[in-house]
Amino acid sequence: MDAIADRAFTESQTNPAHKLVDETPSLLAVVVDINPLEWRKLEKEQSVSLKQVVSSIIVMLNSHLSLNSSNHVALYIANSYSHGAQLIYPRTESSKSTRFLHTPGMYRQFRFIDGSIVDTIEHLLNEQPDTLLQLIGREQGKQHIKGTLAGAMSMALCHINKIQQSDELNALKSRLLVVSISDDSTLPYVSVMNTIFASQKMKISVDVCKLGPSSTFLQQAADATNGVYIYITQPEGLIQYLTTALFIDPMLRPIIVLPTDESIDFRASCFITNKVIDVGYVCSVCLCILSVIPEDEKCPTCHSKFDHNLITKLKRKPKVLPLKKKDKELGDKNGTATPESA
Amino acid sequence: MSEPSASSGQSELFKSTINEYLDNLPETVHLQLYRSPETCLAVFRLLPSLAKFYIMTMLFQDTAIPSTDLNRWIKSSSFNGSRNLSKIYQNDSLKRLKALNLLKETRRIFTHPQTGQTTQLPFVSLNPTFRQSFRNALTGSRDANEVVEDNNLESIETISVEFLDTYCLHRWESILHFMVGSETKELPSVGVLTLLRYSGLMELPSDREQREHLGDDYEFHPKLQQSSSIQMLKNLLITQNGFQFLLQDINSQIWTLLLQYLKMSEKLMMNPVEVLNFIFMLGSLELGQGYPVEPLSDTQKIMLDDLIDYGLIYTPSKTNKKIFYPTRLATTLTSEHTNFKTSAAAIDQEITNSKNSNNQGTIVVETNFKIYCYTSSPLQIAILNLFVHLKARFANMVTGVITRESVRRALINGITADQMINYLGSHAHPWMVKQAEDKLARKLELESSIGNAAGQRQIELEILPPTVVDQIKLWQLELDRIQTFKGYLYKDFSTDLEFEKLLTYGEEIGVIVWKDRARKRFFVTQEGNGQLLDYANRIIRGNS
Repeated sequence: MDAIADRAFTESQTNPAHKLVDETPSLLAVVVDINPLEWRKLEKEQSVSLKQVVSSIIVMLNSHLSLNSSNHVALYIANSYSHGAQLIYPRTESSKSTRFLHTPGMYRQFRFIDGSIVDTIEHLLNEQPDTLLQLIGREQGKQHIKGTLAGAMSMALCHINKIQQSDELNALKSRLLVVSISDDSTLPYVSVMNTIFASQKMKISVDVCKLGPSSTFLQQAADATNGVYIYITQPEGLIQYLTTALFIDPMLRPIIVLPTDESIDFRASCFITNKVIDVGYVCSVCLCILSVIPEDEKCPTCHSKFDHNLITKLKRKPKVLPLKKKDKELGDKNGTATPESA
Repeated sequence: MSEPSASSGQSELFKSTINEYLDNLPETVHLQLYRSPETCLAVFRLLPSLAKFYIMTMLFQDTAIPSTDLNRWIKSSSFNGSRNLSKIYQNDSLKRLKALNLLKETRRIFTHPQTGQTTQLPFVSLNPTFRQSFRNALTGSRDANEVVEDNNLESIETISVEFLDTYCLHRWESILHFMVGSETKELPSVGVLTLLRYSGLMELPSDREQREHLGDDYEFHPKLQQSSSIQMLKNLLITQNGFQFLLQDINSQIWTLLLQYLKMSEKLMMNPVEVLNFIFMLGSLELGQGYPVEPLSDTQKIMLDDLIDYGLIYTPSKTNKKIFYPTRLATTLTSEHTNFKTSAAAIDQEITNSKNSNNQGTIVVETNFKIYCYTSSPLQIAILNLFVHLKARFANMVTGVITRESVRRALINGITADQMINYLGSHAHPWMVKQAEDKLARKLELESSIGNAAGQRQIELEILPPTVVDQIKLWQLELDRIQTFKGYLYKDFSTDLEFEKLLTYGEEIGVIVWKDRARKRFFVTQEGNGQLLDYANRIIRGNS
């Protein structure tokens, strides 16, 4: 009955093409990496400052809001040294922005958002030096503090989820933009992978705007979620990247060619040394990836004991053997060696 | 309680009308309009998504780009049907951009480095005035001559939002009440009544006699200079257009009136640029905040008086106007009726709902064509009476039946089936919406359990019983068995190839209304003819 009703009256007046792309509001969550050490490095190498990048991002947020009056934005920062992952906009506490940065008469939503973002970031930058100087003195050369970028990403996903749940009609579409400057060694592999799976499940595209060294994990994130990964070669023109390649609304994605890199580095990182590896070992219980066999012959993640015999076999130096194959042990329960695809 | 499918139809209606108006403005007016950042923002929002994207890609680029670059963004490898659609969609978007003079096409001549052949390549660039203003709007850099200074603003006291809401709804409803002819204490002002008469929503008995005398072709053009007294205008009667007007949602109603106002203001020698700028500016003002009248131009001051009559603006004292407060009707002008609400907006909506509960979410429609409407508002009852045969009225409810006669009466009055269905859908009782959503969820579950992805996409939310919706549409089909299109017939093709080429191109840009392959003829819409002719000329030139 219902089916008959549907087919008998197709709306002849409305253009079918407009059904292709429906004008629904969307939410843009931006995660900015403001790790001060990395920024200092980047400023030296590429002469791009946090200030320039933030102002470009603000213009992009304004542009997103201008698309539709019901559009929303959220901005998160990730800073491994102090504050950690933090929500900058929308602010949870009702902090009245005392001054407006830009000229008055500007669209009120823009003015409000810009003022609040600039205030917070300036505040952060001002209080940074004392604590940071100590940190720089102490920590440089040592191991990195593991990134809060993944934390900020998952916070942003939570925020998106919250807003989508509170929207009764489920019409809101969302995407996530990550502005990253650090390399992969600051990213905890497991958390990044978990955020990728979460966003895949929520059907949220993760777009990546990469400054500084390139990142395999974020490449994978963009690839798995149908997002755009762009490596910025000319940071002066960041605004053009942000308003073009990284500005594709979720509803336009079905018809637009994504300007992303096709060749993706699918390598994983070692759980012990945190280095990206081509070939390594995999724990058969928890699938944790290792580049070296730990001394205690236990998996560092799930603590299951590896078979000692097998390990000695694996550790054996290659030697020329008579033509004979020995791969029946590979199916064994503990500690097997599987080559990872490069 | 806004309902997605129905309200989107309504807002589309409004969009097409305002778009049509903007499209038909001359280029000089467009250029003047684009000097104002607020107007740029409002115009930008009215564009289709792809057009918005194109503008964004070109906004921060100072040089022109080859127009083939625009095509490259569009996927071509997707399956056949959808490819055509995305092409049509792209064409529509570009057409809109060109109609609004946002996109400028230039041709550049290139010489091939090796062969020395020259080719002409089309380049496109953004309208420089628009680019500058829109950039300013986004980046916040702007000239010093401001409408409102922040410092002054703080000294102006704010007014509670609730007060403004009640005020504007009261104003607006008094106009609607007058239109349906219910007994009201206060009449709308002469300005409102003149506009209603001018726009053809209402007419004087004498006008009606004149119209009937001259037949249907007669178009009503009242003389504006002729000052009509309120005594005379009191006798206005609602017309067919007026009935249709009542069925629209409030935002479309305001836009309909404002567009009529624009047309009237042109006749009164008011500058349309200033009028439009003022309307678009209202959309970017803050609710509850007062703004000084002083910086406005003379034209805008005249407009202010009229907008006060419509309830879009509130002033504390009628005689000494120094400060004005935009109401919710004004600030939501440029924002579409979208399904998504922020929590704050949802609360606001609740407040207006509870105060104004007779206006939304009250109608229950049963499969046996019976209608129950929980309302005591004479306005809503009068509107329902347009297409429902009302049976009984209780203290807080009316009941009625949709019959062939009642629907036919409405159709003859010029109300379309879609309007009736949209009205019922958008005013459906929350309980009906909930039931429909449950049903939808169950269907989706069924389809996904049998893995029918195509079926899943076809399922839509059905708030009204399909039998009722179908029947209303069938009753409309009874009346119009012939559909007319204006356009051109192409026939007598010399070769099959020529016919096929033109036909495929026409289908690609979506302008073919009818075709007959056997006899090699097809029919093209009026709008698409130019484009097809261009193409035909190109082919012929290419062959010779």
